[in-house]
Amino acid sequence: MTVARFVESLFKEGRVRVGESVGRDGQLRQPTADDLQETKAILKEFELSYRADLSGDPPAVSDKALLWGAVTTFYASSFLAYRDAGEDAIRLALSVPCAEASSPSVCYAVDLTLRFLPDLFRLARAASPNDPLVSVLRELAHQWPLSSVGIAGVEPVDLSSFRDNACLLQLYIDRIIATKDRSRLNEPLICDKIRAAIGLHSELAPELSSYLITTNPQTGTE
Amino acid sequence: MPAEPKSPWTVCLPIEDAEHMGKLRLIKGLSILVDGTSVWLRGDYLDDELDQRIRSIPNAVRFMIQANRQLTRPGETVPCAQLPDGLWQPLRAWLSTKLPVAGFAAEAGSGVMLKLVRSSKNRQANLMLSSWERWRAYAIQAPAVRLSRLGFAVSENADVLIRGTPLPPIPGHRFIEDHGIIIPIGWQFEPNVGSVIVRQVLKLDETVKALFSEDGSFELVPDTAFVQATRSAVRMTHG
Repeated sequence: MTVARFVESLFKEGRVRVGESVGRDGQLRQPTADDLQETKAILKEFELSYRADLSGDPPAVSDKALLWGAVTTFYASSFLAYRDAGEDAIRLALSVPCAEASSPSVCYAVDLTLRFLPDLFRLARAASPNDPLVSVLRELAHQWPLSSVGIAGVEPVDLSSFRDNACLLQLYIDRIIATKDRSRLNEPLICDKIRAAIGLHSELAPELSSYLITTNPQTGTE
Repeated sequence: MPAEPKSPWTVCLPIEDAEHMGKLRLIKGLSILVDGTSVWLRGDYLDDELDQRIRSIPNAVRFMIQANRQLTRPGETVPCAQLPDGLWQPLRAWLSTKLPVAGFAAEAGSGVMLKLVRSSKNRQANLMLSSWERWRAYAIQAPAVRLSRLGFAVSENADVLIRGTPLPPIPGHRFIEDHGIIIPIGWQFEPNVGSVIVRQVLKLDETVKALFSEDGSFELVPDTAFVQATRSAVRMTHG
């Protein structure tokens, strides 16, 4: 299974088949240049339709971040399926930093595939809460707050890489409401945005509404 | 009147009550005379059954016919009136008959005009008519949770119908949709019948909605014109 097929299957069918990421020699299997080229083409084509559903003007996509997100998601999915991989191999594959400094373009490009991180985290924790994969995925969640909404306990959340981008901030707000992730209501800006989205219609998000009513917007404390 | 066989008798009654003599039509020997606004019925024989029938005729005044055509009240001997002269004719001939109308078909009423009148009832609007530009500007920026509850349909003249709750906070005319009957907010039907009845009256197909104006006119909007509100659906629609 190549990264390209993985991504294609993920987008078209919503389910994937993965191969082992670690060879018999214990080495991490790296995607070929052709695989990465094809992966990029698939991602770019998908992004054209994906951006139509986002609020306002989505940022341009960073090619490097696009591929980094796809390969990271590919490895995480592989380790979820092949549970016998050691912590070293997991960390080796999933601790490689993105080649570009964080920015709205990078966050957006990575998120195209890493937005499945909450699902991966849930499955990994359900299989084994103390698995090294769970802790590595939690670290990823901390690094990529836009993609990790729905994973509780990712604190403190640093939104500096995309908070000034209206499109990504709205995407973040949409996800908080959809996942009812109260742990992300930790700063006034987010609380205000949630209130603006819900307005007087608390029935749109009853759990978050009741929480916001009883929470100090300045301190985030109840 | 006691039964007095072979005793000539007569009754006088207003002509408007003459129809009640129909029950006597098949009795032989009865004759009738019309005298101005009165009608006279006479016979030569009277038994208990006939006497009972005559008594049942409304406003009928009974007399016994004496010699010289003099009339006396039953049980009296002093004449009080005279039998009128004229052309007496058989009752059976005078009372014509006609076949009843089969089934007595009901007559259609004049009908009640269905119209819209002002209403004091406070109801929440769940559909609005706005301009495409306003809707588009809102929708592509709106929170997903707001859009997820809305559907929209665009007309050829760039108007847009938006349905669902809560409605978007943009200017427009607000309506209430119920069973596919859409009326302006603040109005109701008179007579105040439910939307199901209105649908039946209008003979609406299940696949269309009727959008009413305040003057009572309406236009049909097919259900298929509505699509789920998403940012991509709005972007791909050319208003």
